[in-house]
Amino acid sequence: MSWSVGSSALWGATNDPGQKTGRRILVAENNTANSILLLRTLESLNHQVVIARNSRQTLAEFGALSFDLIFMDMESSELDAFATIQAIRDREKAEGGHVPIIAMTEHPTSADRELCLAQGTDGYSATPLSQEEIETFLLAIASSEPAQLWRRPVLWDRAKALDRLEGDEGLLREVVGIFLEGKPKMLAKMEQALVEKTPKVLELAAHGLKSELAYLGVLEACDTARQLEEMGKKEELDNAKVLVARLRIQLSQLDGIMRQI
Amino acid sequence: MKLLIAEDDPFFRRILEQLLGSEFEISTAADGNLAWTMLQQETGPRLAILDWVMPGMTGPEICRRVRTTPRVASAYLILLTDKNSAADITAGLRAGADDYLTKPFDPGELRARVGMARRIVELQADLATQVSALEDALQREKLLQIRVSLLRPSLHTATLASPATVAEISK
Repeated sequence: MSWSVGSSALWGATNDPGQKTGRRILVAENNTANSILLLRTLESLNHQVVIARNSRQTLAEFGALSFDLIFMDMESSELDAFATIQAIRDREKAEGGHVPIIAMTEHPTSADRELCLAQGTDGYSATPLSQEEIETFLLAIASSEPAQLWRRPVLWDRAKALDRLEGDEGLLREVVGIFLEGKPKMLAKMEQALVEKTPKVLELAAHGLKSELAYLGVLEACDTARQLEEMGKKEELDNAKVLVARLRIQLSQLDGIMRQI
Repeated sequence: MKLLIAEDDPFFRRILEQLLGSEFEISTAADGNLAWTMLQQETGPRLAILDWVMPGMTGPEICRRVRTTPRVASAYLILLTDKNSAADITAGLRAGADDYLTKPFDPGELRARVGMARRIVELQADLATQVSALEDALQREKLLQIRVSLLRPSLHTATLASPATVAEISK
């Protein structure tokens, strides 16, 4: 594999303009190991990637090409992430458009997350990103209303969850583990229900997730699951696909937050 | 005291098991049919928390079965649900539930309701013991009456033959 950095060269398995799933993605990141990992995953999913090492390169690439998504390292010493995001958003204000930016940090905290979202990023994730998280973010772009999908950050009222378990930290870790383990199966079940048009399956899977999310104090995601349960009950699956994609993103963000405990 | 937790979601099964484990001898079932089998056992639990939505029999279905099966009809049943509209709760109670808890439940409320259930199950057990003691006493009394009635003719003869009677007659 030969590749260079910040030269507007696109990497990816395909440059075929007819390839609909291929997205143009800018990775602003100067940790080589993380960049390569992200590059490999994105390439394996047929996307085109540009890597920028610092603020100047990032803004130059952003000006030179139109991107579908930007992954931005928030902790890089050579990259003033907040200033770069501000410059991107300023340019968009003048020229129109909105490219979703996913903030990445090695040690995510909820305060950090709030700050990033307040500063104009659309998503927030811990590095290294799992393939599931990357796919989730990309799925959001492919859906009809990407901006709305991740406009609201997912918040976890951990204190509430701990309270419900009478302050038992060990039990909290254990049930969070059960939740995280069961979640991909529930999502897969919902997606399968949409393909197979089985509203009852959707209703039951959404119901289960809803109860767990309510207990854990994750209200936004709980509300999405509740809406999906309703759709399943009423056998109206027309808008369910977008909601399942939203839930997938919310749960992916939640995954990052919960794995810190 | 034995407590059955019937809940298909391992998340809630674990929470209930852990929160109540120090107070009860807990058994768990991940589906409604298994829960019903366990409730029918001779020395099975007389107190159960039943999730509303489960594979196999649902919580309300189990309630109906229990109430129409004389040997286990007195079991104390708590329905677990997040259907907290009044109509759903009424339907659950009509099916035969003694009480209900809605998810997400507060641990204090869980303990209070389960504690009340324990007192009622204990009272029922005391009552059953007393009723059975009373029945024993009645049975003994009946036997005594039969003996008395059998003895009465000879008692009459004996009375006639008693020295006091003889003395009376000979006056």
